[in-house]
Amino acid sequence: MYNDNCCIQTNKEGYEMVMLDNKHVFWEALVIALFVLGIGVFAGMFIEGSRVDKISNMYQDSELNLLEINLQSDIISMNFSDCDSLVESNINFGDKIYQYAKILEKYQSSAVLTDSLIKEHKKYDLLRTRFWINSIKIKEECKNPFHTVVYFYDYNTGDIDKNSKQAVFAQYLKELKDRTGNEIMLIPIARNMGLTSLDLLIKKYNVEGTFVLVDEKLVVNSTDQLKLIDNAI
Amino acid sequence: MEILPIIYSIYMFIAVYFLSFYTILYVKNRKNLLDCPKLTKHYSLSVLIPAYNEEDSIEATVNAVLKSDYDNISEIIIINDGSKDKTLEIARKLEQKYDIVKVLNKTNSGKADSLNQGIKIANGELIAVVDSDSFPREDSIRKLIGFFDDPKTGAATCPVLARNREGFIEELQAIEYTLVAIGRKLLECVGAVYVTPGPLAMYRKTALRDIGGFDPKNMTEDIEATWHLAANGWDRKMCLDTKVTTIVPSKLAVWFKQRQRWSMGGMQIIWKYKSYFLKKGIVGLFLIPFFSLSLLLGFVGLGVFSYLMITRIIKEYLIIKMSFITSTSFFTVDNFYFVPSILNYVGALLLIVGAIYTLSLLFIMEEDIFKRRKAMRIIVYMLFYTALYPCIMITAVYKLIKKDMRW
Repeated sequence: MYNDNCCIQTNKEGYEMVMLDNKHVFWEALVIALFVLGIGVFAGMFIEGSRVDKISNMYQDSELNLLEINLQSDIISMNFSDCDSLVESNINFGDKIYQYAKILEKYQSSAVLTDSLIKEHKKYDLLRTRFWINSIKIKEECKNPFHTVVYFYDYNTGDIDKNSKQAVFAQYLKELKDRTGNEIMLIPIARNMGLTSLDLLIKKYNVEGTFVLVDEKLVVNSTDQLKLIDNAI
Repeated sequence: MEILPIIYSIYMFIAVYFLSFYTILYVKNRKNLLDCPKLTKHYSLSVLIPAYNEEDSIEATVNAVLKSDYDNISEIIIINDGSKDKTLEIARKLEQKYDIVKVLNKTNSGKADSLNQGIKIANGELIAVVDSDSFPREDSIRKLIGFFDDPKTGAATCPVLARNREGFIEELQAIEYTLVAIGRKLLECVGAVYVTPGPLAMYRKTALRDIGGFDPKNMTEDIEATWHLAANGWDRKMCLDTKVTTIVPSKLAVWFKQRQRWSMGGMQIIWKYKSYFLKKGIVGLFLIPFFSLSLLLGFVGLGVFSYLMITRIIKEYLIIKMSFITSTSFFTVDNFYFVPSILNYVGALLLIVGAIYTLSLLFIMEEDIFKRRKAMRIIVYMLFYTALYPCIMITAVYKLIKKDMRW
């Protein structure tokens, strides 16, 4: 493949144009490229692994908080306590997992090598579902101290229409939360993670695709209906 | 793993491979890159200058050849290819003035055919082709002669650099020509010189006869001839220690047409030699895979880029439209929030390494890269100029499919 005469070219006066044997360059470059690829994969696994660890730690923290809220809720149902502290804890927790959800989404879009973040996402969706159920319970126990606004969306959808619609829904709900503060409990849940319990809950409302559920009554599934949420709260 | 990250990874792998390939070649051969064999045998040389409507430059080109310090130029044949301007008139004057200048006047039939007619009447053992808008340095012809002491050498060339560098487009081409020159020299180290370009290419006459001259059907007859020589076992050499300058297009439309022609010629050649793929010598094992891969990467890259751009535009349009209906903001600080993936990190690293590599090559070629104006142009060259290649390729394919060979 390489030029055999490339190594030493001699002319009649004995002048030597020395060229080195370059035939190995093809393989040497391949070895370097494979080495860089290996380093890249290793670094990628490391970066994505550390992000998963961070999310995992946040999850454990959240799980503990939710357990405590669950317990508080049980205590209230036994009339051992007042609602104020429970509602406050619930709101704080709601804010926290909303923020975690945003971080998870950002990390998810940058995960290219592993699917471990998908598992974390599933865990979070379950956690948020439990949180929603608990919020319903608190609303019953404490005479509707807040509105639940549950946002069901499709995770990682390739559909441009759906993607755009979800971006507008997410922005609208974010602005709503900023406006109303503790009046609403905003709970985003990915509906297409294959979670049976969640599917059972959603089945009750018989709605396909992205939708927002306000206080378990009002279903909003198109952008021109979003204003109805404002009217409902 | 999704398809796009896989495509990005493949691109990065190929980029790392070729970056390593050229870097190793440079490191191994850096002490010998400027070596050219000494002149020992004074072969007789015929210089062919094909010209079509070159009244502005033909005289300067001939004068540049006349100034050559090689002492055995037996003839300079100006081949007037049916010019409609004063090219023939100027050529005749030069013929009267200098004994070694001859004029071959013919009806317009293209550059390859003009050269073939010139070869028929040329009496030199070696034949140099000089484009009529190009200007060999005094020593460039002499420095190529020594390569022909090796009986396997069929052709030799030297760096082609931009002569006019005043304008923005010219400056970008100057950077490109300089990088191509050293790249070609590095490829010589593995016997893979893929073109002995028109501005100055020297051939052994027997080698040209062996390949039947230049292919008139091909739009880049110089590349085709070089591949043909390679396929027939002839070595192609390059001397980095001299140069020929050429007038580069100063208008974008002319530049685009020129590149389109080069692309079309390149594709014609790949098609012509397709049967060699992975089979025979440097043509089958390196040149065809190398150029086919370049084409493939260009097309796929343009396809992916277009897909991403179009889907992004549609998505943004839909978001803006729906945002108006719902009175929500469509442009927030969150739009700028970005968590980089490993591919982003590697991509950024590759860009930096690529920039260092480009700057190093320009520095080696003694381009004054530290001038502020020039530094800006290098950035434009790296980020935008090279990104235009795939667009040119697409239009070239379209013209080839339409069989539109005008240029």
